[in-house]
Amino acid sequence: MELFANPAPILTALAFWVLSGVLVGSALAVVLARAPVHSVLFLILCFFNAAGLFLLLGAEFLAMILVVVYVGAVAVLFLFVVMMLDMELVALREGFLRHLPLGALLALVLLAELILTAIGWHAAQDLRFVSATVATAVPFAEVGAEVSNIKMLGAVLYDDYFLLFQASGLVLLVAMIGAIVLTHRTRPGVRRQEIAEQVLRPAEARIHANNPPIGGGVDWDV
Amino acid sequence: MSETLRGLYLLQPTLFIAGAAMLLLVVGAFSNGKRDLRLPALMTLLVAFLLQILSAEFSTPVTGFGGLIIRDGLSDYGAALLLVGLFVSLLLADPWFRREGILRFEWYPLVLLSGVGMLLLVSAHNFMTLYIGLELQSLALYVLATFHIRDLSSAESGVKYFILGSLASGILLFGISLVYGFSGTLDFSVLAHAIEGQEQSAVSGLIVGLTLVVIGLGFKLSAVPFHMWTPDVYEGAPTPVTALFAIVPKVAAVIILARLMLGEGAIISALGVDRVLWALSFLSMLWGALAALGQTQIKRLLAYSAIGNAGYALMGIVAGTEDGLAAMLVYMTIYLVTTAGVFAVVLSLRSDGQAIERLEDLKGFAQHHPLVAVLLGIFLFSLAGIPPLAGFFGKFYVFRAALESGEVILAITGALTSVVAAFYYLRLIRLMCFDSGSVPQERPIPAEYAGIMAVSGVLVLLFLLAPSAPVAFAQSAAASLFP
Repeated sequence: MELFANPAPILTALAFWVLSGVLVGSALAVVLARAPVHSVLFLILCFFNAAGLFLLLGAEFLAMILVVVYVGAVAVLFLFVVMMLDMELVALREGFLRHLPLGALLALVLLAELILTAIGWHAAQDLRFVSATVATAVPFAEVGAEVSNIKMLGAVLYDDYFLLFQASGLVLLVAMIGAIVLTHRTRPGVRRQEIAEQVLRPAEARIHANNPPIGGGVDWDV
Repeated sequence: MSETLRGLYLLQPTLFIAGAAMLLLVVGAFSNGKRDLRLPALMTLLVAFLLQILSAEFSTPVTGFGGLIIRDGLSDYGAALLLVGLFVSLLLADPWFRREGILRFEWYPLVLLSGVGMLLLVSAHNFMTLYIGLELQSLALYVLATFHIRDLSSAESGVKYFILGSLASGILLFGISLVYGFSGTLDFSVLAHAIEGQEQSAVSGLIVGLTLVVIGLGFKLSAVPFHMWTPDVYEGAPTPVTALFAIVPKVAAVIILARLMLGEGAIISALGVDRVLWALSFLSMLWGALAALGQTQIKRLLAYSAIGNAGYALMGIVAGTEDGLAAMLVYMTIYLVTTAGVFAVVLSLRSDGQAIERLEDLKGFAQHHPLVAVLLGIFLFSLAGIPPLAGFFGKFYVFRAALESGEVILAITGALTSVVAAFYYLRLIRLMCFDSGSVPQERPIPAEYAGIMAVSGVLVLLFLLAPSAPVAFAQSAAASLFP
């Protein structure tokens, strides 16, 4: 196994077993936890452990993306949704046994698909007839040690596919403009804070020296 | 020169528009939308047009960004046509939007960014560029369809367009992933070379993938049977947006199909998927003509007209020859000019402050506005293909190319459906001229509309005098695909 070819095999193996053990345990906890909030928190633990496994495999980019995108964005969104929704825990548990066979069947199908993909991968390589372009792309395993895959991805993304990377940015920009155009309405009577106006206001406009007569008041026109 | 630098040089008009769009967005946002952005937007398109023309390299195709994009006669012709179309659409939109009071500054950046997508699409030489270009174009158009946010039918048309468009994008992307999975490349010419000499069994997965790609593009082109969104979206969207839909995006979709079908990156024809295009062309012509007969709304009628016209343009591609491609380009040019004229008339129709949208309201139009009615008549006759007008020549070239490459059934169908189409255009003219009714149209017609009507009218009428000039342009553009 490649895993044990590393300089400190025992440490790597230990890290692998710890990470995968916690991963499987927390994955189970996601399903079994009573409170939905706990489920989401266990999901986050899951993501962190999976990121650790990716690190062991030398895929540090995937590890970072997993943490940034899934933990930073997706899981936090889940957390918000779960905390904001008023859920009946008992109602959620209802029908667990009834849906169990269907769920188990789906899980089996997914497992079978994964196994088929693993088996079919090598067969699929022979099916492609444009072998030239495939061969120029250096496989991960061979480069792994010398060039980090972040560097490789960066080279591909910012050199070869520079145009498409920027154009994707434009697509996101259009999506943002679209969301604003479709939802933004200017409401009358909204008081805004004009910071520039506040800062630029001369001192004379703010400080008044008054000398109120005894028994009289001050004109308040600010 | 490095690949990236050359790519930047080749794409300069597109990049210029992208930069200008972002600048306009910032200016618009910081001025709270009070600054009028129409002139800067029009100038942007004008400068981009000049850049495109001056850097045009008709003779030899050049690729940039490592084969992601290509500049050749076809992309230059397409880009020039798109830029003219966008320019006209912006001109058409302004008075109408102002009249309805729904103009917001985001209109300009959105139109320009959808233009960037279309320009990427016509110069795509890789399936990824194709997809990103198409997505950039479509996403902006979805928003534009919903631009009148307080109008329910506008919202409906936007949602319909968005959902069906996303479905089409999904189908397209699925096709692209199949193509990549079975071939290992997304580059058009690498793929075309790889297919050569392969057995049928080796490319079966590619055929499925490419068929899905053609279906996805057929949707954007509103070719039957993937046209179902067109009438509803055309009807619901604000009329200037409908004009934009009718005039511009079709050009980009047709040109990318032509690139996949002909010349160096001829993947569709190499795999035999051109029969799918044949069916799309046949069905579009047939259904576009037949379904238009029962329409009562002007915009729906024009939608079916657009569907039928997509069929005629596809016929030029299916012909598969240099002449066919040139005929298709001439056809699209004439279609653009004529449609711009029709929409200038439709947008200027108003009675009691309301935009006219039903055919019935046109009764007696000729008595009240003889000049505009005559112009509309000319445009409609041209769309129908009545001989001395430009539209006749467009159809004639396409039919001739189809006959020369042996597509007899397609040519005959085209001729027959033209007759059917002529019937409903004539019915419209009868409504205008011989039925009595009143159209208290507001005067004066905005100068933009009058100008576009006049220019389109002159071009449509006088095409007969000098048909060789545009045809020569189209031919030199088409020739760049066949070295």
